[in-house]
Amino acid sequence: MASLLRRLVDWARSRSPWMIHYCAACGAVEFPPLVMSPLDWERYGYMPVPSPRQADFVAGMGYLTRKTVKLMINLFRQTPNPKFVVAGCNCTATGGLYWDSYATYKRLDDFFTVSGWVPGCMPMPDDWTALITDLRRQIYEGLKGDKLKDAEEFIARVEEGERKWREEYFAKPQPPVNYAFKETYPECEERYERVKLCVTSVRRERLKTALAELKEKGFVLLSNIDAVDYPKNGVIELYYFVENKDDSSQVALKTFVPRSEPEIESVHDLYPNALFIEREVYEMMGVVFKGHPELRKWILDGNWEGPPPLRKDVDTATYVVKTFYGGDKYGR
Amino acid sequence: MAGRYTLYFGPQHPGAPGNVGFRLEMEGERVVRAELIPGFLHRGFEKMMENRKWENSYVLSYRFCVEDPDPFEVAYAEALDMVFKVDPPPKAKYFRMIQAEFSRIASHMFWTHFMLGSVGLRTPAYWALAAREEILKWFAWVTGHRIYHNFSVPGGIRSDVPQDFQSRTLDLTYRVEDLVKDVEKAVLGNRVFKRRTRGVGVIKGETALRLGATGPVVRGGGLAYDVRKLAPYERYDSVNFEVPVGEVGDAYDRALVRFREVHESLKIIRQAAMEVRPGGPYRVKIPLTAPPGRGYARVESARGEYTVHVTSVGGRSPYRVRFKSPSMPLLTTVLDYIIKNEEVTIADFPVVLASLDPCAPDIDR
Amino acid sequence: MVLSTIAEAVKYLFKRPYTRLVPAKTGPFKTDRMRGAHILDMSKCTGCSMCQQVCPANAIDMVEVPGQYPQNPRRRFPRIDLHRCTFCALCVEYCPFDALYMTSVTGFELYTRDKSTTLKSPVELSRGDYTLVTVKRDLYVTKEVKASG
Ligand code: SF4
Ligand code: SF4
Repeated sequence: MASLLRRLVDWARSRSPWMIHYCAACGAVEFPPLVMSPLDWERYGYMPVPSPRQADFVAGMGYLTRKTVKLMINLFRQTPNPKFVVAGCNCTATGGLYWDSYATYKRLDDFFTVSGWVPGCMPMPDDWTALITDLRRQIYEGLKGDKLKDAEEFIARVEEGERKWREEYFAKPQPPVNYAFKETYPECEERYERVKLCVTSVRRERLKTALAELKEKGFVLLSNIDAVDYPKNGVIELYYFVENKDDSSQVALKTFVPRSEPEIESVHDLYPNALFIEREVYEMMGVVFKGHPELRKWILDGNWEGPPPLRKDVDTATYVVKTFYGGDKYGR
Repeated sequence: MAGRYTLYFGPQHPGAPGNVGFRLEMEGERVVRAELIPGFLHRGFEKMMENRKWENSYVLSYRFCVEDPDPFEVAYAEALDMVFKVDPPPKAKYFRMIQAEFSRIASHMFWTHFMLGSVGLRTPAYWALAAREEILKWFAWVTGHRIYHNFSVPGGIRSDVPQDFQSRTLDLTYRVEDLVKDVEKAVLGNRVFKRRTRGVGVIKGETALRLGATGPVVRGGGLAYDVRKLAPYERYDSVNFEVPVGEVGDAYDRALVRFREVHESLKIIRQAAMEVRPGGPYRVKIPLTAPPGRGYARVESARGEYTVHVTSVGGRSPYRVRFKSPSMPLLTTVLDYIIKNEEVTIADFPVVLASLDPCAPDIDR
Repeated sequence: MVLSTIAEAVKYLFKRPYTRLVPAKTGPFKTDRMRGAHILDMSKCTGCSMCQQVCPANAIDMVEVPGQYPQNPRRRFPRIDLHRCTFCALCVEYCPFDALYMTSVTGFELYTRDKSTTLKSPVELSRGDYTLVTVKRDLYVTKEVKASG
């Protein structure tokens, strides 16, 4: 009798698994075709629900950035039992194309037990259907819910190691500056007609005045700031791309800062969006923008604790292989 | 008036534009400050590019905006063309245009579904997705994958087009046009939609440009700013199209601009498809090592101007690759401006967000 | 007016549903150019490891296989992790001996409850179904494609 009741419950459960509506990564882009036209999910009893409290399963939809994983653990905790984890996409399973990315965890089963995997980069809607259909079958057959593994400890260990690396990195002496630089502003030193780009160099002391002058001339849009690291020369080159509002021609102002003292004036009062681009360059390259009101981590916050990852002498690939793949580049 | 309080919005929220969060400062119903919390999708493309080689780095180049990958793919291919100093055959250039324009339409249709979700008009969203589906099928047919096409490579395109390419492509443009027209009629003519979007999220074109934004947000504000016209890449100089603009610069105008853009894109595709025939050269092979130099490309993606800056010091891998994020100003400076200058309530906040059409992964990269 | 939406919606009531009524095994999502699981021709592969070099996802590593292969004296063949591959077809394109192909086997055909099964050894790879081959060295076998769905 009791077993009959349990089978009835399992049957009922398997009829309508609901998923947490959380578009965790790029795999989520194949969900609208699945949920709406042409596959119309709801006729099978599946549904994306906004709250984890109503959900039955969590889907890993692609690369697991570290920040997302913390959130997924949180969501999983809030989901009522029995709860299930399924995984689509390759990055969820092995790291996939992003095997050397410093900001992702490589395997979902480091954190949860997982009930089904569908490979693909990315899986098509049909494949997601197959995944959930099989989950249904498993629930019907009496699958017990998935569990959280001892994840916090792993995360804490990784982040602790990175913090130590950061300290060591900044304690190292910087190479001396050995770099030829000639100021050419306002003449172009390189000109690319087709993309309407003119590259010119200016010393960092004069950068802000040069930008102010350009802005007067109609270059009102700050397109981007690029930073290129040259450890051999002991400098970081900076390119400020500004764009003219009338004919969309661009000027790239090239300047440099020594690696021993990577400081430059912030230009956010001239270009409001510099506030965010500078913040990004700061965290990725370790260039300090003087006068910036809020110079702290932004995109890397929660993703990476180590030294500025885009510096050339920060070898993140080796680090990742060592930490997440146990030293084997092809390992799972 | 209720006191000030803080509200976290997203990333696990159906109204959030993908996997990004916001820290909202509220005063009663009104949002007075919105701080973006990015980073949930950060993979570090710029570093990963440096670990790849010239011939396989392009596999990464388009993955940071899943809704609209092809302009990014085309841009990286263009930048590498410049590094290697090769000139792809004309057929490849026309094909790249078709690819990028179809991607723009798919992206705008995806946006339609998202926007309509936030104003609560779900029915036409299904038709918009059907239009997108048709395009994805076309992509799967030509390139072998629905989302990540991997087809524009440095030096041209990867493979020749199928025999019946022209007829099927033209056929598709008419089918998509029918669907888009239906969606347009159902959306733009709807009074509820008008009420929810007129006068919401107003920003003028020039202001938006000064804040770093480009694309439909600027054009919706009345400024015909489009890289395809101003600094034509590929063969955009040889096709006829217009740059649609709005007047007021509110959410409705941006929707209008996007729908008009779809029609312009279809126009471009029809002209370009005439130049793409099976047979003939489609690719110049690039060598394994690059000369030192610089590559730079500017393209118009569905969300605005996108640039790639490639630094090469020779050797087998890029030395440094830098991408511009077209969505970053939308959710930072532009959103800030809108919230400061008008009364955005929490109910309107998703509408404002959706009307800006940010692409979350492209902020984080 | 709201009516315009309703009018359009009514029109759609009388159309053939766009929804795929029975998502069959090979639905319109698959095409004749689909990039999917690999096939390795073990009588052609020389173990040059070109595919390993070019793979952006590091999905390929070379393993030794027992048996006699005259063209491949060191008996080293690629092993592909289909749970790591991005299906970019670069390995197929760069194989100098035309030993790798791709088939239309993707996603649900590879579905598994145990992910260690998708690490395909050379022998497993060589057992693929040649009738499903979609991508060869000069890319995309099928030049003429039937219309689907
Ligand atoms: S298809 Fe691409 S990712 Fe997959 S094994 Fe071949 S080269 Fe690697
Ligand atoms: S499959 Fe081709 S590229 Fe790979 S090792 Fe064999 S012969 Fe070389």
